[in-house]
Amino acid sequence: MKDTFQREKAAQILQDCISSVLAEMAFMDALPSSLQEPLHENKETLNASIDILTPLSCNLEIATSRLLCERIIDILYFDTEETVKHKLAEDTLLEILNIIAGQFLSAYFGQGAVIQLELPRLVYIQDDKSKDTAVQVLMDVEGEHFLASLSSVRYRY
Amino acid sequence: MSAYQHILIVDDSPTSRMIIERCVQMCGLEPQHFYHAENGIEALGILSETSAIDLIITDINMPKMDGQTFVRLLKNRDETREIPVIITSSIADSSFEPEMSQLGVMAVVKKPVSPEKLVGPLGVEQ
Repeated sequence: MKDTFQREKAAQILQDCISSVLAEMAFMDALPSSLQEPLHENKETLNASIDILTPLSCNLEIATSRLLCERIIDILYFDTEETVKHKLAEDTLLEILNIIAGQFLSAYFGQGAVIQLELPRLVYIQDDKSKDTAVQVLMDVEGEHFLASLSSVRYRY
Repeated sequence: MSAYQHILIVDDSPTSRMIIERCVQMCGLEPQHFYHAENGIEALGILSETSAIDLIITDINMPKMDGQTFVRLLKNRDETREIPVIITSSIADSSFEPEMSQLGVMAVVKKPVSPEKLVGPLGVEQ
């Protein structure tokens, strides 16, 4: 088993997974964007992270605007109160991450790979010390940025 | 009238539960009631309180009690053994599938769930 990702292959698969998940879940178009552009200036950003245990110890994190999450909720639910929408935005991001992670690992490692994921969680404070970013993909989802970062994880025992 | 009138949806994500509920309805089913549980423990609680459940749609990756453990317990109990189960999972070709199939799980549906993916397992004509 390899202990790291092939960057180009991983980036392409990650991009494809983000596009297909957002299209299937929310009928939204996600297109590659330039990494030079600033991420959500003056907008509230939500971050979610999931640890992958096998086949490779790593972590997938996504970041996007709360506005995009709330737009997805508007598509999934019809009439939602603002307070409920606020709370559901976080859950929606976690579920999107869970599905992207599963699809990415299935596509990258192929049939027969044993995949074990932790539960996705929201990230409020970045802990970059134990992470080594291998792949970063920035997408434009109908005018909103969607950043995905795949990192290898150095576990401390 | 559909064979499935009381459907239990087990998933820790409210978003995911709502998507599944919508997809079932978009398949043309009109159940009398959807029951929601956040994990296997909650689902077993609902099943101990009502015998009306005639279909279970459960996620695998959940806190407290995951879908695999839940299905094993379900299929070991006389009262719940015969209830049809559909599993939803974000992982394709997972290692749990052979065991779940042996336990009599109807289908494993890959997330995100869509009406197109549910019509087959639900036995609905398009």
